[in-house]
Amino acid sequence: MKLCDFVVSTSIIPELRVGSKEEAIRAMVSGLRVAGSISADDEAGIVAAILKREELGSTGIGRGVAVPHTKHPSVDKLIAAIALSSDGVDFASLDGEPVYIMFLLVSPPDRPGDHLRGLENISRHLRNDNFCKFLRQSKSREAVWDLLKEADNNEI
Amino acid sequence: MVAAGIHRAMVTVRNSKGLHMRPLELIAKKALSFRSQIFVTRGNTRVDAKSLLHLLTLGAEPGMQLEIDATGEDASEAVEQLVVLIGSEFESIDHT
Repeated sequence: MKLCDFVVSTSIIPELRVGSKEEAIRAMVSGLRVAGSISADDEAGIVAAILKREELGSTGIGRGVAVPHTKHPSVDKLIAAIALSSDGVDFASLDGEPVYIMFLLVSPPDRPGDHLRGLENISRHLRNDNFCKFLRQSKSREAVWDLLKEADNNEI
Repeated sequence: MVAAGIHRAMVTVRNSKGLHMRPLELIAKKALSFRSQIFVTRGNTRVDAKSLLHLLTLGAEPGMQLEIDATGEDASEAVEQLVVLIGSEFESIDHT
């Protein structure tokens, strides 16, 4: 599985300016709707499910990264949005630091393997300091997408 | 004085949704409660059990076999307790 297989390129937000974790999540889910990956009817339900998951424990896993996610029956395969924030978003992260990189995942409930493989893929790249550095330096959707392709080809 | 050696054990993932983020948070928290160095291995991937980001790279699905190894004074208890935790069904946490 490669990042480019499930990240929705037209939903990438290279500079997210929001005041809260909730606004960030709403913006990313809205991006997936605009991209046509989720329907307008499902948007509110997906946001609610992601926020509910955050109540169980922040997906701000530290090192400036968050991976908000949910399973939802409206999708038949794993999809993901990416947003970058140079100001940082308060995600109530495990290390207390702001989040600059957000990967939001929505996966089908009956295929937990898709979700796990998505997390595995994303976290493998996020362990690479250069990947994180170049991601934060990307100022356009195209730059982010090019970086994902390079990461998929193990060129970073 | 008890010598600090390596302790190892195998464990099978039984949680029906695999080791997603919530079980992994509990695993990292448990690993952090020990002084030993602890690793979890799946195939060729060997990760630091105390790091959530590292644990996420395991992609451990139900039925997969993992190896836990620990080195240090409390290695034996560490392996024992992590085998129980990792092999559990994590019923105490909500699944999403």
